[in-house]
Amino acid sequence: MTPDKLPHIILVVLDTAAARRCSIYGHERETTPGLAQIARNGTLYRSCFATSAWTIPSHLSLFSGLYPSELGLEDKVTRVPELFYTLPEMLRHLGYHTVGISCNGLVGHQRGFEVFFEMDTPFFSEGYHKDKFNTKFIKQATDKELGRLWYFLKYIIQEKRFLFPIQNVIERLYKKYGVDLYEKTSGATERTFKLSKYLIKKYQGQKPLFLFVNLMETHWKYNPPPFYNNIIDLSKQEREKLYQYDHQDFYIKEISPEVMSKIYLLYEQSLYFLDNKLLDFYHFLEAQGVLDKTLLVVTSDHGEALGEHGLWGHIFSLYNEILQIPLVVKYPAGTAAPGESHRLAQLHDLFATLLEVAEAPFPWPESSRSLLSADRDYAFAEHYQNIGLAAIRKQIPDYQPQPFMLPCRCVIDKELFKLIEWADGRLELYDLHRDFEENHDLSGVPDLAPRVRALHRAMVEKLGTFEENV
Amino acid sequence: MALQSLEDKVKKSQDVLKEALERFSGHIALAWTGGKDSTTTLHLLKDLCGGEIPIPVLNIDTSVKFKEIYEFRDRVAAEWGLNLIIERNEEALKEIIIAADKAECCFRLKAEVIARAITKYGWQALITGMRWDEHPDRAADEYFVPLETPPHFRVQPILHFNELDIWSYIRSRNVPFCSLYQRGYRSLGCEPCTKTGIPGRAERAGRNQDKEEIMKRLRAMGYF
Repeated sequence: MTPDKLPHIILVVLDTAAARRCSIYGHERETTPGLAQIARNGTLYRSCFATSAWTIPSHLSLFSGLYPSELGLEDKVTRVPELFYTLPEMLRHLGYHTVGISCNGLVGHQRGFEVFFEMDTPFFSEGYHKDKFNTKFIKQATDKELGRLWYFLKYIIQEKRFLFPIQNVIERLYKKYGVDLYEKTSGATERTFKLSKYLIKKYQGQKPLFLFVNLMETHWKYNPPPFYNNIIDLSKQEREKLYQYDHQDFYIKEISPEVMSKIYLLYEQSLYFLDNKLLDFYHFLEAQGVLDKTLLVVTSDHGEALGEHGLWGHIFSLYNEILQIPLVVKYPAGTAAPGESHRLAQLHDLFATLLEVAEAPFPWPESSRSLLSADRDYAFAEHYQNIGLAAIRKQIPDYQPQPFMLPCRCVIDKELFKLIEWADGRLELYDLHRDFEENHDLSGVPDLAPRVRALHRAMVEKLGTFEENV
Repeated sequence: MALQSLEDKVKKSQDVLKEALERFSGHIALAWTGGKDSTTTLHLLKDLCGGEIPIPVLNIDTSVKFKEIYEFRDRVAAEWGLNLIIERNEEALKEIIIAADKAECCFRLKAEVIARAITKYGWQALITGMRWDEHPDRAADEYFVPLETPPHFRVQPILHFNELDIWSYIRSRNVPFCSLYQRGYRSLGCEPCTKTGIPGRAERAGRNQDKEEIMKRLRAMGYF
């Protein structure tokens, strides 16, 4: 496909949005009326699962089409390893202008993005963010401060970017005093949509745009604007009291049920606010007349436990409150009829789907299955890095983990039987058709023993043994 | 004039191959790693020569390639009826520890083997699948490059292909490719030196970083 015929691709990740808290997926309170409106013109995927429980491995799966263990991720790796293709680099080869906007400090530049905006900035110019990226590697060039200064000045002079140092100082001050992406999420969300609209207007009719957006509204600390109070109305002081807690505190401090229920409602309020902004953005696309030539994806990197299974957050386990994510795809006109899909889908299936829509000649990993092709047989997810336990042990070094705190992984088959394997060898089996909440472990039911064996075999064939991964 | 379409690029490559076959008739071989670039080069030659590969095909066996590459090599060699010459440095494999000293390892297992094969078979030219966009060091390369140790020409018919062209060619002609590409790999090297890296480097950087830094020196020694 020639670049002038390529659709815009807009990939929106609502960080930490759990499908089960979305009204479009059946939640009792209306949290996502906007998403429902978007889904009327697109495809709503009912059974979509993340590949991991937390940000980094999930995003790297999305950008590579691979499962976390296939990427061979080590601690502190936040980029797709050089060995593998990334989605933005493939799209860039096809002629896309590739832009990332992230409100999450853990989601940064990936190979292939021409410009990547980290939203703890007051500056929106692409040039400024290219400068930031280009000078990022100077610190790796030498240990000596004078040497780094020399490289920095050389860059400024050679590229004639004389305003950059001043902007950089202003940005540092802004980061220190003006913004906190975890507590002042709504400002970053507003700026992200504003910037997205600007980019769409700028590139309309010029170049196909691949726009990746990560929004942090539903990530702790949930902080919607105060005038969004239809689900819960809390004063600033009341919110401040809630913000003293972090996920790990839930397991080691006495937090009253009343406090936790406020926190849970605040999550839903954040989701509602985000949904509202998303709908506004959708209306903008409509008004610009670009919807028919745009592939719009709204999804999440993982969910959030809000009391289910005695959990809060997304630091432990792979139960559905953490694993099931919303997925709505508004395809370009003529690609797929609107409707609902019950196929087994995964976040990283978007890798193959987007490449298929763009008619890319590149091969894509078998682990990623285009949503426009045959269904996948199995979905897998992995959670080996014990980030939650490490956070707890910072406060209580000799803390003994509870069973649900162990590393784990899971497999789900087409009939929605789900097998979870824990690091201590325990297996849990759930029939998600009858028990999506995963309350009844069926692993001990004799008639289901062959199912357990088949699922386990499929998992080992795909991911190797548990021991090989930890 | 810049080559715009894939078909223009294919024609240019086949013109280079044709010239090479004429200039070095009977004294030319093609180096084939099993990767996408050299497989494309091999297919361009096959297409030019009416479905036959009329010259020897050299494969350097370091003994530590991925098993999928070996499987792919043997399958294609059989299907395409290649006159495949597999060369490896048995002495070096006894003498060195694989990947302990990256430069030495590459030199002994690759560069030295190529040089020996050129001398042994009396080749005056070796065709490779290098591309301009693959690495900054290659950006100024020419289609025919004279080398001294041993004296021969390096023929580089797909220099003007970019990565998208390679895959477009492979797809449009149904050229087979190694299954590792369907596991997300973008560049195939030896297994011990294929490791994770940092962002912001060129395509070949998926292979070992240390090795890339001494690339220039190795190329002077005959490695491609």
